[in-house]
Amino acid sequence: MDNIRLFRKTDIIIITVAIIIAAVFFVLPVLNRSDDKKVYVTKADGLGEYLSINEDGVYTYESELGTNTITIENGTVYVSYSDCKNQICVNHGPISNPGDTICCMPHRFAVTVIGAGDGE
Amino acid sequence: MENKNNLKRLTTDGMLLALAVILGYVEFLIPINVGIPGFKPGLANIMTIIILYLFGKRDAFIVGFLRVMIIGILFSGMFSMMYGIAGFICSFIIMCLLKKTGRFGCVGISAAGALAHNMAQLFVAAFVYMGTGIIVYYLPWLILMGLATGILIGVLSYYCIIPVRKMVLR
Repeated sequence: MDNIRLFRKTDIIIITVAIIIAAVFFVLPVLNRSDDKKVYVTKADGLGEYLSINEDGVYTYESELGTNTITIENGTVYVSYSDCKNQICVNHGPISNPGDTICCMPHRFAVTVIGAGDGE
Repeated sequence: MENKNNLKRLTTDGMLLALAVILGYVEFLIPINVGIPGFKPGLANIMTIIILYLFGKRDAFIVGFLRVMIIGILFSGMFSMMYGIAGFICSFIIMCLLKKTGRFGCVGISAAGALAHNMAQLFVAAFVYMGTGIIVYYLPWLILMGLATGILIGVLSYYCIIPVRKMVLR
């Protein structure tokens, strides 16, 4: 009954181990982040398509509304060509962070960068 | 003499169970929003720790389990009760094991209990409802929160045990 103590030195072990595990799991997603980003393309027919942001390439999407070309380069993606009137998508410039979106309203076309574990 | 002690024990268990339910109700009334769904400081665990120290693990288990059931049925609903039972059983096992070694203080036992509780709930959430992807994102936050609340609850428990013990031994 008399062995009740508020704090003992061994308690520090529990606290330290917990903090270390927490730190490891804080660092893990940060290390993986750049590898797992993807590009999600929403097409005029409502269907989507995933592309890797780490592989450079040029992709062209055609629909009855018009044509868009996106370019993936150095971990960024931008709309390099569009035959729409306003050209907002082309002027938007490159995006690279998860959540960034370029949208071409006249063609109902959008490009979104998504992070690890989002979507799919 | 033995009968009188049993009576005292039973009465104290009952009172602390009632207190635990009230504390659970307080947590239910005043949710503390820290950006993690389902976060609670676990005030009711004070009662489990007090009974664990004063009357041993059998009483502590019964009171703790009843507390989770009563709070689940009265306030938080069946789904929360599942989480609560998983969390309670894991934290109870950990607390009993650590207390048995006799090398840990209130703070350590309570912190380990809170961590086990959070881990159990996270794993239930991950494997039953939402997929394992959430583990990586929530785990560090749940550990830090469990640590903070666990230490707080440990300190509170320690300062509650002394007066309750006086009352019981009188």
